[in-house]
Amino acid sequence: MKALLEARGIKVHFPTPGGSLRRSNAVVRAVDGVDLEVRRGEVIALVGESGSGKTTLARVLLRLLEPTAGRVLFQGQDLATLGRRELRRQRRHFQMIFQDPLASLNPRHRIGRILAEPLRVHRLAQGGEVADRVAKLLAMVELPANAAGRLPHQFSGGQRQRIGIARALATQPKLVIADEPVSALDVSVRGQILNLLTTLRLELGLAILFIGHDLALIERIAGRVAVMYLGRVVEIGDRASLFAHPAHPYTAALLSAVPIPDPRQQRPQIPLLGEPGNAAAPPPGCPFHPRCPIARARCQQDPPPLEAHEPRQPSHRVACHFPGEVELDALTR
Amino acid sequence: MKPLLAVEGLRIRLPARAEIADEAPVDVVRGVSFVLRPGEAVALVGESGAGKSLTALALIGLLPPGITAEGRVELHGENLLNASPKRLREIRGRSIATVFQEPMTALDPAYSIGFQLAEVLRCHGRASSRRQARQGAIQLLERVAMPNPAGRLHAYPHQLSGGQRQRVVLAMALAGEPELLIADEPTTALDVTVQAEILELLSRLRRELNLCLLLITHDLGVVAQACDRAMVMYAGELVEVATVDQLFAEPAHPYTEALLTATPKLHNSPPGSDLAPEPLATIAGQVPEPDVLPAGCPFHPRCAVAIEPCSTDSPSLLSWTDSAEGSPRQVRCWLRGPLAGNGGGEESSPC
Repeated sequence: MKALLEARGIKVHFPTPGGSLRRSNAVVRAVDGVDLEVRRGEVIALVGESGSGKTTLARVLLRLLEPTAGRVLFQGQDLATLGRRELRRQRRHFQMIFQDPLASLNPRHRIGRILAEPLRVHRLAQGGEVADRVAKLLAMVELPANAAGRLPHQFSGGQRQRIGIARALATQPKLVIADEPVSALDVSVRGQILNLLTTLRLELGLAILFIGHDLALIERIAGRVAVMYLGRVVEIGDRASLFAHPAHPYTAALLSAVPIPDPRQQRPQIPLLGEPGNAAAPPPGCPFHPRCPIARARCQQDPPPLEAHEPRQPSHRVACHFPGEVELDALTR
Repeated sequence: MKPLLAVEGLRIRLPARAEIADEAPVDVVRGVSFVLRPGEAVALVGESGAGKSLTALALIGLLPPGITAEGRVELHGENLLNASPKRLREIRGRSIATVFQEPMTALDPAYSIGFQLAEVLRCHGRASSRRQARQGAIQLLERVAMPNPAGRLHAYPHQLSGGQRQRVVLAMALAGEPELLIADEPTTALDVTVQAEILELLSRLRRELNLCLLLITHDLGVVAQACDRAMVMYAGELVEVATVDQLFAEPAHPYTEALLTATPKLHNSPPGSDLAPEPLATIAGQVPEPDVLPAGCPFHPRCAVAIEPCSTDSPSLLSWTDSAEGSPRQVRCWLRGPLAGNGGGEESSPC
């Protein structure tokens, strides 16, 4: 199947801030060579610790940020070659849902206006149609019709996120990037919002790129998972394969650190060495080697390519010279 | 064992806002009672707005201006709610220390961490010379397993990672050798691998220093990993108190049960299964606002098993022991615990 969105060789290097007296040409390699595709109608999750480059990559995919290198193809079309007007026309097809809905909704605008804005910008509705479409959007996210007349602060966190979803879906996008959409919400509301997203995805045939850190949640909603470390994808695969057989030691460590809500099922964590890596000075070889419990001499020189390690699972790819070792290690100990 | 801290009938009241006509004061915490014993780790669990953080602030006399607390908070028999500001300053840090979610708010960005640690040590009268302060600061950093402690004294907060900052804050909290450490969502802002390290550190410190830990969290995974007992709070009241083993094996309150069901568990999916993920369990509705609490049990509109008295009469927090050798536990529910079976006149068993 053809990819809806395809990113090839994406790099984003930010200059490090230096005083005028200390001119430095050092860069932070926020994203350092990522290939990623999003297929039509799939949910793909992007996980990794803070600073791993997830959000920066998402901004590049939406063309909110110009990459230092690489191309982003949306339905086969290179977004960089589009003129401003054409890019804006394409924008309706990819939208974003933010973590903190209160920060991303204008506090002075009523919900009706917030939802009407994308319709007007993209000329998707005129005159009386606008109110009609707004009402439909509110119904779609299970909010009462009178919500249109109210202001963002009059809603609870979960309701605000419903508004954020309605706004993102107003332009009938094909791809929605959801950046930690439930991290600010309470446990009891989280499920409501995720179930709503899942239902809407199936109804509308949306693809969702879900950025998150809660692996227990991601296991429940994603079809594929990509794990990022220091600006690179270190492992990518189908949910079932990746969660059952994490091949990269970093993925295994992440999974082992997820707190288990059951005192009878506690298990040891795979310890990581040292501190989280620094994207301003990524180590040579495998970027993970200074923290890796199984790193060997080779890992310090050779950056491992992202490739399939198990012939029966060609879509499960990992960037590690010794894939699968850590998990086995932990089981036998 | 004699309690370290005994809280009795704690009630926290928000004042009416002057700019809103006819607004009445609101009780956001209502009649909370519990005891903490030396060396135990107790979780205070609940969603936002449950009153967890205000309860913690009331224990150390740090409620924001205008917010008042009634009841008793007894530290070794002394009621802290009547204590003078001077006495409270002595207690804070030395008997009760606190750590909050965001370490950057507890650290001054303009001073090195060595300076800040030394300042705390001097305040507590634990260092009279520069050299003592330096030695003390290094020891504190060693205690929280900071790598290369002597080398880190000159570092500024922004030069440290989030996990290291939280270690420094913990070191500062330990400087006064407290008996009780209140940690309010100490790992919520951290990455999952760092969270696991900090929880491990908290458990170790507790054992080494016989520290009592009151851990405030919304995350049941954190509770299971780091605590002995748990107190579940909903809409300003404790609804269940039990050992962590009891709570997870047999939650008594329907809210606890619903929270447990709504917390996704990592389970290894069978390889090759490409079934569409199942919907997540949720709790219908939302946490009520403190000024418009429903009548009766505050949880009844969201409760899957609510019966008639639940919507009119508010149940009390009652103690019972569910087996001969089991520890006593408490629940506030018409249908569970000691009231089970005679609350609604019918045997309705949901599970």
